[in-house]
Amino acid sequence: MSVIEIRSEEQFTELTSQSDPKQLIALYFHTPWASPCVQMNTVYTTLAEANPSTVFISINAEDHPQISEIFDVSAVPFFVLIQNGTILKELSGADPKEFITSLNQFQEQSTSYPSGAPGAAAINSSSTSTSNAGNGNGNSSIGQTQFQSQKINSVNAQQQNQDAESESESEEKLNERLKKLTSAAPVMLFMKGTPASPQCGFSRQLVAILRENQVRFGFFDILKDDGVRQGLKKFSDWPTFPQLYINGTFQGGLDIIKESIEDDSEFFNKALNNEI
Amino acid sequence: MSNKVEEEVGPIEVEIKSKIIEKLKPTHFAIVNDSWKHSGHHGLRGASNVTESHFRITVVSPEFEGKNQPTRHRLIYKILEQELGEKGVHALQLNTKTPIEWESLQKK
Repeated sequence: MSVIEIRSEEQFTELTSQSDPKQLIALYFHTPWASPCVQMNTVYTTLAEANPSTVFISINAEDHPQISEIFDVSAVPFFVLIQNGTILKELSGADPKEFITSLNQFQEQSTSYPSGAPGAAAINSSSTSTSNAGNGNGNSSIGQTQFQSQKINSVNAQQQNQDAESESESEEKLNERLKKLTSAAPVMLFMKGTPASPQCGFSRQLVAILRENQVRFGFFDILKDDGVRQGLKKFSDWPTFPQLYINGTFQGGLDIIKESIEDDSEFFNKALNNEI
Repeated sequence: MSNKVEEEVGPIEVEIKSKIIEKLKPTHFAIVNDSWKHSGHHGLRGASNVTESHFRITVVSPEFEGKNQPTRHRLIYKILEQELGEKGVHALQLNTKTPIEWESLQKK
């Protein structure tokens, strides 16, 4: 079966209020200019053909902000698997393998369990896990792209760290991860909360400054990962958040960035071009 | 500015002031306790220190000569390591200037 591209909210509601509780539905949120989405588009279409028992829906996140808001989509590509009106899984990031695994997992269950109650482990409401996306160079960098729109305006560079054994990450590994994280985007903001929902006044202010100056940035919510939160304090030699990195170099916290842009309106451009 | 009644200076503020003065010999120093602005906030829930958790500090010192902002701030963070660590100071808004920079600001 082919992918159904949503044209209206009504259509979406119609398609998702399925009467069949066993029907597995996949949602794919994308935007036209996010490069990982381009790769995933092909993957998604192929999967749709290969899995006729599942309904594959595709939603341009910018054209349909209301639908995106229902699922709290803040970065693309974003996948949701739903069944019987329940969110089974959410996947943030362009990782075909992970999506396929989840798809298979839930497809099996939807066929082997007659009533709309998949196996015990299956139902995760909003368990968001983020994965790496291989980009063209074969580096596994954080593969979500940012784009400017009202609701969705930054990259979510949240690393996959849902396993219980995350605490025993060695310092070396952590530093490696931090190196990758701080270079995940030309401008990386380590903050409390997300740009859509900051959990600290200083983080909120720094987001505002970046937006005012139309700087595209990636972000990482340090409240969601204590390993990074503590590790980055050592790595940056900086005890507080928010922290801004440009081209992998630590630039400062709110005070410094505020002052830098006040002193020089071209601060961000210069820093991006390594002129600072 | 709110009309706050003359408030007592807490022990942490006293420590901060004395450490900075000793290490940086500032020509100008000012400290304001902003903790009351944040005491209800999510990040401070369950914290043992909510009365001396946020400070705004201005330090003008020749020690900052030739150092960029991150370095200056790091200098202060080092000096106030204990306060930021075990004493529970949650955030510091820092304004760090050299005497020359300060002078030219005053003229504006």
